[in-house]
Amino acid sequence: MRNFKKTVCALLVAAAAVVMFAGLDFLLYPCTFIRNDLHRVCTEAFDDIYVGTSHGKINIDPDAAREVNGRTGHNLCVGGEYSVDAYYMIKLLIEQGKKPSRVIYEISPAYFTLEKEEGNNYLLFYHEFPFSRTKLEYFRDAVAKCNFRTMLFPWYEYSLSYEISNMRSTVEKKLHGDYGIEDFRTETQEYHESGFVARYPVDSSNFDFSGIHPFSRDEIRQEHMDYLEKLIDLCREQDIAFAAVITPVPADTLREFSQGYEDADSYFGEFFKEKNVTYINFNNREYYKYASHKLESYTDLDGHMNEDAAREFTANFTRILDQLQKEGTI
Amino acid sequence: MSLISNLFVLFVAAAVVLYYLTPKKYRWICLLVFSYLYYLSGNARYLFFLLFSTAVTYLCALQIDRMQQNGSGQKSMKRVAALGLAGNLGMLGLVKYTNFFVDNLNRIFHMNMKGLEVLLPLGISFFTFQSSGYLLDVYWKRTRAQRNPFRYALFVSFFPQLLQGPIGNYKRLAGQLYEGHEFSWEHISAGLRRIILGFCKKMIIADWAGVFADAIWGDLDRYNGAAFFGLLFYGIQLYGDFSGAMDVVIGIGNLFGITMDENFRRPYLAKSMAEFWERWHITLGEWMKNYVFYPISLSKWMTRFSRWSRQKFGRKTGRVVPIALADLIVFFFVGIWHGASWKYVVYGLMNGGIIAFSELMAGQYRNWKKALHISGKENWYQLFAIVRTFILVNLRWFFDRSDSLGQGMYMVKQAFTHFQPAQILSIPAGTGGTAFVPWALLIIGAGCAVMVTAGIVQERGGRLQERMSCLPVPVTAGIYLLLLVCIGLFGSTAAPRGFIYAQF
Repeated sequence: MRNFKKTVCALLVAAAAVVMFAGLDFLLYPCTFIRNDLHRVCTEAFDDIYVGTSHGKINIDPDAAREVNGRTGHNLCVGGEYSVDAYYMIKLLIEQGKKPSRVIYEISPAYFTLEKEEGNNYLLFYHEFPFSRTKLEYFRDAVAKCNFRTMLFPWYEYSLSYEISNMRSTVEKKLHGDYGIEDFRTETQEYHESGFVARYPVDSSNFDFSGIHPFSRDEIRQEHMDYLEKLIDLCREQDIAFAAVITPVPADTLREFSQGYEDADSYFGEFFKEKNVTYINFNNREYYKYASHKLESYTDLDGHMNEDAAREFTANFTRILDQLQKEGTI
Repeated sequence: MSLISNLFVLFVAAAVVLYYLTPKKYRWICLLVFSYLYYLSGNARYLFFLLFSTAVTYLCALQIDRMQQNGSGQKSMKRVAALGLAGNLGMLGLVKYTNFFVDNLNRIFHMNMKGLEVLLPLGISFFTFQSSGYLLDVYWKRTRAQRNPFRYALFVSFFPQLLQGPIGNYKRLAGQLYEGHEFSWEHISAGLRRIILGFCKKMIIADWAGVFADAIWGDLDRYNGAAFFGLLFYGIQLYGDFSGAMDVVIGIGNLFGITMDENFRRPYLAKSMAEFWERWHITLGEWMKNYVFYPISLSKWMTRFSRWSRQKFGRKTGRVVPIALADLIVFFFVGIWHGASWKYVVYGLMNGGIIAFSELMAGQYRNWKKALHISGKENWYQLFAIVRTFILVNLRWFFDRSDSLGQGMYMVKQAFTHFQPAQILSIPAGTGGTAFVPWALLIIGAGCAVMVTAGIVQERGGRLQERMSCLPVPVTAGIYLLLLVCIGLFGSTAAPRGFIYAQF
């Protein structure tokens, strides 16, 4: 009898803990635009899905692409997205029955040389995945090695003041299943429903090279290449066309880090050739002329464009991509 | 598999469930399987070292035990014990110290010898000491040898303690490992409480303090004015990190109904360096006392030295000199146990030097206190002794934390010649940059205040843990759940750090 009481007591404590963790998650985990992105691609099928980093998020506008070819598209890129995240997001879409007909991977070469930090870098995606087999696999392969706060307190990396100031909006959005985008507008950029983030033009005279990590093939981390290969294989298995793109950067950056960009072009050029994948690098000789490399088109030296330049670039990129598809290269 | 990872939490949960589902008689097998799985998950290539250490000490201890039963000569037993120790500690020496010797020989003789290209196997410093201690215990007839090799393998590899200790004593630990413990909610709740406390120490206090310590040591030119703070933060980080890890390890043991040796007893409240070592990394200190200090003190050559010392320095001082020498030797070993580097030799000798000096001066101190009418029981004197020891303890961290002896000396110099505490406010403490600094400092301060207060209460005989367990279950559960949430709310948001002692 005494043991039964204790067991009931333990179960009650465990239940209270679960309720508390879920409650705190509900109150404190902010509604990010990735929540919108993943909700959209899991509820609506698109022809083109763009995956990649902040360069893809800011430089590729699916609406501009649709104006060129009429294909629907959604931008799933975000800063901190590595090949492992891209792989599981595409896998999730397939599992959810929202398979795209084409996946375009925006490659930021330096990402392939950096270790993906644990924590928010994974939770940004993992937290928004609907419960599914893919979510469990993503947990096993990526989140399991992270510290246990990612499981119990996924909100731990956001500052408390930010969480508290946003709590009302967070709760209302979650409670009403609201995926409005008004909150994602800041002084420097705005988020579009297509997943594109439009940056407002800025004064380029204050640009500096700080924060740019040059590529070196000696620093390549094999785990990123492995997931890129897995993604290519997955697309091939599922009969999804796959293309890779390196978006343009300012001419000044190309000059400053010429060795790194040339090394990246030769490394990824060889890799995609071997994998028989279409690869377009707007910083190499072949495609240089199809994008603006003037400073006025950018919001920093790292290669994040302003809205107009991004739309123009997307239109050109889409034409090239469609042409290659027509020629049967993809 | 880090102790703070999701995977480890799930691994422990699975181990606990399977342990209690297994029939009592076979529960130790469950622990053995999980222990080896745990070690394999680190790096399968290093399994050889664990197996070698286990096999050598198992076979030698068994042989010694047989010889004892057969009444064989002491010399033959000594030879077998020496063989076992040479194999076990020789393996440790080979992988841990070869490159150190090669580097030094290269420097001295301008040679170009190549070292070993081998990463230090996980937990080697802990499991070799644990198994060597067992072998010596069998040799000194403190315990009988374990006949079942698999049972013995569990003693060497029990997974919670494998990487960071505590260094287990066979007599106290082994029986508990082999006994199939009954499931008890008391064990489970005691274990969980201890684990939560450990994670709080690690993630709230140690990891935040580590951000500042790492920043200062990582950019000495920029933060040279904050060297003293670097020292203080490192002291806080090391204690929070190591004692936090021990809380987690001991808590996991509790989940299986196993009580492991304590490794910390409020070390920063010690009143002398010798007492500090009775409170800090207790199991290493005990190991050194049992297997190095006493054998040295009771050795023939030490007896001869003791006689000579008494003749030379008189009865009083002459009696203390051999003890001081033994202390120096012990702490030399403590130093190099921490790592193959001159900075650790200096670190060890600093400890030994301070303790030896205190022993030599003990008589003088007594005279001074008598002359000043200080009994030693006055509150102000106790506080003075604690602060003095705290300063001495922290000064040694200059050499423990620095990358090299040279860097340690540089930090000492900077600490005494430059003092610009404001530099600390320019350290980017979190993802938000400097905006996090006051917040992080506040958390560290509050965390330390809680630890010191709890320490003082415990020091005065207050039994906090026992008192907590007497409270109604909803209250206790509420307090610990709140503590758990505090890890999410106030834990370091900087890049997660592994446990420092997991690298030994």
